[in-house]
Amino acid sequence: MDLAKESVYWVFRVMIVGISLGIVIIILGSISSYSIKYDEIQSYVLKNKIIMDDDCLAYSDYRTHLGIIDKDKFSKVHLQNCINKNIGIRLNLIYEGVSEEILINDNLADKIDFCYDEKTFYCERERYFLTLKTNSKEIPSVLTIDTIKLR
Amino acid sequence: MNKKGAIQKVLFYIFYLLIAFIILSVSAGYLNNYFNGLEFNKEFIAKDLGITMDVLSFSPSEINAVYIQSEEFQVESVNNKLRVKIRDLETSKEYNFISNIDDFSKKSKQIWIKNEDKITVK
Repeated sequence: MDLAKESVYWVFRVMIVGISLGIVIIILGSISSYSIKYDEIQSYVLKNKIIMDDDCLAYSDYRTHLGIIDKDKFSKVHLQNCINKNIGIRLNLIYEGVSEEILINDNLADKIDFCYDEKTFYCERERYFLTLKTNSKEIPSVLTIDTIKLR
Repeated sequence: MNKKGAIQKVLFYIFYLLIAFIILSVSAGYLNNYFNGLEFNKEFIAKDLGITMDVLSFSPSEINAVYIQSEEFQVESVNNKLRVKIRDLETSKEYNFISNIDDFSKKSKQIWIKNEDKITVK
């Protein structure tokens, strides 16, 4: 057998080895496709963090007041420093007839309207009735939190 | 077959042996971990410890927790991503933190988590 034929022969053998390797990887990948579904609990933790953490919205003086949120902390910059960047969040705060909306991690948050695609996105909405602390007074408010993350 | 062809053939056999060794060792290790539950254990520790640390991060006052496992595991946080391994040469399982948590690395059966002003791990 000359060298050219020999080379072609070996190229085919290397291709067969490559295909076999690919099949082994696919089989290993498929049997290990289990996962722990933690989206719901993570979303629950996230929403509670937003309203209970004094680094996020919770009002604090010498202590943190649970159930009271600080109007001064309701800003995109402040909340972006409080929350990591892999979950999209839309916050809607209603008080005294005024409605304010903030999107955090815009790339995901602006896709909340596509939440019907349950295979791609995991979404949740929760409404909280909270006291809003401004400089001069405490007023009742409604905070709606929408969360969205990729599955 | 000339001398050049013979050398090429020997090199290919060595290549085959190497590939076979890599495939067998990686597959055997992975399947062994899979069937004795280590892969699932890693996945569970990553999610469970990650969520625990996220919850502790918004405690209104100081709080400590000890996370204990029956065997030693490696845990590290890089760029708010928690990675858990049980052995050195294996793939890690990951969890993306909600909170901003400083980088750390630890190998132990138990991990001390403390929240004063921020989360620290010992």
